[in-house]
Amino acid sequence: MRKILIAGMPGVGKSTLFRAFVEKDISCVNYAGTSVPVSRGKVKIDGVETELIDIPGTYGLTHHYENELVARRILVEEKPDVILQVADTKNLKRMLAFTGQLAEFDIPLVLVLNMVDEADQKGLKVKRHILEEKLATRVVETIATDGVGISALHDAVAKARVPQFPVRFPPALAEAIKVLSELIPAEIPAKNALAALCLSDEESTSEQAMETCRFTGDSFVEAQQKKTRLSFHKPIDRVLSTAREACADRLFADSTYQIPVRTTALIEKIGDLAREPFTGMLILFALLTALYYIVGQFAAGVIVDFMVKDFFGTILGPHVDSVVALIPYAFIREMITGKYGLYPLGLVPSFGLVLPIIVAFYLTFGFIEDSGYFSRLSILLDRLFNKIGLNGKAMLPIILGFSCVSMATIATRVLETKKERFIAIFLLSLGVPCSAKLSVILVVLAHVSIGAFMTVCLTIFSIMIMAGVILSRIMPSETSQFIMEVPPIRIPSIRNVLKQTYRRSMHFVKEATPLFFVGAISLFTLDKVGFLLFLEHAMSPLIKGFLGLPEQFAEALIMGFLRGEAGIAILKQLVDSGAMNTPQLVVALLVTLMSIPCVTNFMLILKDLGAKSAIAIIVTVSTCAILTGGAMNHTLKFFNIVF
Amino acid sequence: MNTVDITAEVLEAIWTFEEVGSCTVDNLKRRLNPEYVLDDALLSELERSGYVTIHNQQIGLTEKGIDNARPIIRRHRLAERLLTDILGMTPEETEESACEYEHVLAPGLTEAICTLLGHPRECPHGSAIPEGECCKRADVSIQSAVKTLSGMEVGDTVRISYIRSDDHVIINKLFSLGISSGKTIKLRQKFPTYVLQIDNSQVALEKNVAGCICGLKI
Repeated sequence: MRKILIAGMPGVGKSTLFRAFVEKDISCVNYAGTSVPVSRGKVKIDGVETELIDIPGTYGLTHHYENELVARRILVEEKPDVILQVADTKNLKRMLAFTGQLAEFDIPLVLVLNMVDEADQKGLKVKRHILEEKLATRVVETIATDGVGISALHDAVAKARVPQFPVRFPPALAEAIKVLSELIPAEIPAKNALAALCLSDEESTSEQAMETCRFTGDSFVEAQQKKTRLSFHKPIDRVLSTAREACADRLFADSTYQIPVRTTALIEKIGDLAREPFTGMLILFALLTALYYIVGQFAAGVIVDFMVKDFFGTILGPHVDSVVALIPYAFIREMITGKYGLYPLGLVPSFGLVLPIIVAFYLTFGFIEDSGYFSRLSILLDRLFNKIGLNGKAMLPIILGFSCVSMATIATRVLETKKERFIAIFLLSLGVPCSAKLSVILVVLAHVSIGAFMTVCLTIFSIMIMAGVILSRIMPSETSQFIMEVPPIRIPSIRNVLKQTYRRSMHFVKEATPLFFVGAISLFTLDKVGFLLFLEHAMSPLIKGFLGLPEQFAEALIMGFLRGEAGIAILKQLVDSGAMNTPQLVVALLVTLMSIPCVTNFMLILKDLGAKSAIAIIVTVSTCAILTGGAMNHTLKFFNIVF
Repeated sequence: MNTVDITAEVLEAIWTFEEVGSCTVDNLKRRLNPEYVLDDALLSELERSGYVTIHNQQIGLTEKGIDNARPIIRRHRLAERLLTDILGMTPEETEESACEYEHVLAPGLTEAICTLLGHPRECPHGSAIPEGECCKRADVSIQSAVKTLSGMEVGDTVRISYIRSDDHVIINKLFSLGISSGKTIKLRQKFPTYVLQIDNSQVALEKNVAGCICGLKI
């Protein structure tokens, strides 16, 4: 079986790439005798069974830290067939110096230029072909968080070569490495790398390398080691890395160019104001208002009305009906256009209701995202995030949650501690509505009072804050420091925004719309066998008694588990048909929004945090949802609030 | 050169060897000859006075030797910091002058320099500076010239002297963003979070991290 090692510095997106790449069998166990977690997974590349190995990031390979020890041992002992070096493109120069170090191991390598979008934001462009030519191996651009470039990576693996890295070590050092490498027994690989490690100033590193090369106790080697160390005033590791950095600098200069960031003095000024406390809040408020009018009023009102009432209703509806009428079986006719049919529950809500709104949302969101605004928001809200056990770095995953909670769950991988990830994922499942959910909420709420809208928003918001504060108190504290590079603020590139919107919308069409149809079929089947009625009766004490909702709410919950927004679309039907009044709608929205995350997200949490944490999150979140809904129901009744 | 000075040089050399491993008589002679005449007679004299112990060519400092070497090392390394941080010399250029300073600085003056520099923990070459009484008291009675970023104002241009942190994750992260000793940065914002301008890029960091960055306002 082929083995691929994913290597790179911390924070370059190795694990995200690993998860985007791997298909099955993920195991994560500590490397023998250490506390370093090593993930392994399997994937078929060009029909070849391949094992992927993911190790924690390392800044180098010579230090005594456990991470680097494990990296060295895997490189030498497990002899991977290919190294995927994941690099943060915007810091390519430093990444290339690491390539130089990896090249010494004589293993074919693919250089993965990850986060090309962020480098692009800084105006850094890589001439990929030149870099490939210079390194004599494959270079692939990716955005691992969005799954971009993964298929190109599949192709590159088979074509990987040992990289050319023309580093010039000082003669005395080059000579010493040559002498030592020639003494290493033939069957041991990576001779140059090991010879350099034998000379390392870190005692534990050189001892380990000496042992691997069976040099321990060899007086000639020890004399060489001593002689070399004494002939340089600086530590040997420093001399080696300086030489590699010089070579990396040349490569970098030859293969990249900088284009000026598109910006103006005014925009830069706004960028500065956006991170100051007072003006920042004003700008945030202005953006939210704009977002509300574009998405909530224009898309959710005007466009959706047209799509649902006119396009799917009066224009397409009669044609569908006449075509369906030709089908001789009543059962099939009902399956398509009946109460739980594919047309009213599958096609219309997904394409008529959700799609137009999320396209509008992705467009607006994309503009703000591409401008570099969100980093300013991280700065602005860092301190507030501290209160809920997170820091400004968590801003992006949470914001992304409004786009797609599953995508955001993946993005929490940028958070450094387990505690932060747990809190962020919990809050995402608890209350952050993804754009699809948000879209239906906006449509549903467009017809009710602003008071009801605010009640739903504020309740969810305060519960999220409370949950964050409680979690940050009860979880053992692991702190990570907020250090973040702030990309320049710039005029958004229309091309980028359109590309991103297209990608995200297609993702929705591919991933989500089938689930609408699955949901419709499930409800149809459950209804036909009579189970739906049974379920509604069984859940009646909870739904009718405690939550004060009509029994059909169970249908929303079933659909909601497949896709949150499909569940809310059912609420819309209930409201439209007069089965639910406004206070009931508020309760129903709270429960559906907060309860179950959709299937995709549940699977992700399971994969990321393990069964124990995943179940803990689901149970807590669902209980929380029911209790909040019940409390809201009784409060509204007690004060006789009808909005 | 009188005996006292040679003693000081020998003790200092042994200290630096012991920081990275152990010290043999050969290494010691190579380091000090021919500038100083280090013969066996002098070594046995030092052993008799209780500064060092010698076993099988291995030479080590005794308690008394350590107590005598510590202030010398401290003065030498503080002098190096003073010359690089305040006077802008490169670490390589400082060596000769630092050797002079280590013999002439009076105890009070040493403390003043240490306070002025903000009680640094490492010399420009990365070796530890032994702690003095003033560090334990964390004196700020003289206005420190080298301050952490929390002591600077928005708009200040700062040359970073050193990063004071034991956490290699923080040091590495800062280094990877181009924040390391010798670099010049501009403080753009302090609240709610610190924002620094370094070359063409901006970096945001929280207060705790800003407190690790020590520099000189220029």
